[in-house]
Amino acid sequence: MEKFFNFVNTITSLSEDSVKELKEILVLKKHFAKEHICQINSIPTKVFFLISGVVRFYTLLPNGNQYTRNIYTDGNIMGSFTALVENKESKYALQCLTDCEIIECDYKDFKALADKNLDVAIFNRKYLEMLYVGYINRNIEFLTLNATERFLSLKNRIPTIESILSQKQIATHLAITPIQLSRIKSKILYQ
Amino acid sequence: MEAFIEHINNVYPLPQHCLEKILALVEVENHTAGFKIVEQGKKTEDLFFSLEGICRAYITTNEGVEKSTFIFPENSFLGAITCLISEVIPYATIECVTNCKLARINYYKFIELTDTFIEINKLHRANLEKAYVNLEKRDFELANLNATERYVSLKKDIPQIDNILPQKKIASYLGITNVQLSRLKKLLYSL
Repeated sequence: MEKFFNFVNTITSLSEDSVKELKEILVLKKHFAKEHICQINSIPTKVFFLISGVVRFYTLLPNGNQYTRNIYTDGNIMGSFTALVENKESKYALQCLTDCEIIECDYKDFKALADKNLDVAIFNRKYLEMLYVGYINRNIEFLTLNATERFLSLKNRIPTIESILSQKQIATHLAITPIQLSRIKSKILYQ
Repeated sequence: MEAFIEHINNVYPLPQHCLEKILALVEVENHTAGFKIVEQGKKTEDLFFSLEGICRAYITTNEGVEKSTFIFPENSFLGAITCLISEVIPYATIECVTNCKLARINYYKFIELTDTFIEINKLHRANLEKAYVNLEKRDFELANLNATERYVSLKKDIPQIDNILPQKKIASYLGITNVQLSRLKKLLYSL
């Protein structure tokens, strides 16, 4: 729990009362590698904070392939937000890639607290902005970086990525084929 | 301004005193096509809402190539939002594609309001959530749809796009070359 409140403190400061009320709706759980914390086609209710481990956010494509949209390392907020916001079935799943410690919170309970306490509202506002910036940066990378540059950017963010994800999963995340990925990697090795 | 107030009421209806606080910050301005409301490399503090007209964001790369990153339809918020959030100098330019009537609001003064009035905070959070949902859609399109499907999706959002934006700028938004765009259009319209 301490790790979560340290994270909150880097964003905004909460009153003691808000910390107490927030603690009442947070639950810390342990999960094993391969376990899902959010399933495709189910209506999600929870938002998560990753204490330790690695989690991926992916969807299934009509052609049977998987598209890994995001890879989360510790210290990140996670959730199928589009489905949470629209109260619809999730197109995406959240799956633990390693054993994980995750804090979970009912999204409605959290929003109710943010609707009541202004300091929690400011925290909510700021993390939504962070998520927004993260998404924009990814979209901009698609438009302005080539596949090699996108791969290097991913390696820079998560140096251990190749031991965590399969080549195919990395390739779909970069929107290239596994063959293109192995070409890029051998090209980088030569340089 | 009616479109702006209607947008607010659709997202999160505000009590009159909160609505007045926001409207006191708003200035309405008219621009001709080609006018730049945000310039790459120049500090900005403003957020805009398009009452009439279409705008486009683009990045000029180190090689001097222009890449369209966003096309903003009528009745939407626009601005260098990530740069406003992260308090950095804009890395993109936003120009009016058609003649535009825009509502301009100082982002930081608006944020002061969201951090003071919980009702305005709720409106802003709802807007951020909506923006996030749109970004997730765009990310999926960039990673998984082919150029034809991305073009069809753009036409759905802005049916008159071919009349208001040169082919070159549409092509860079889709992440393809000019030639590829005219080929896919020929194919599409011959069906």
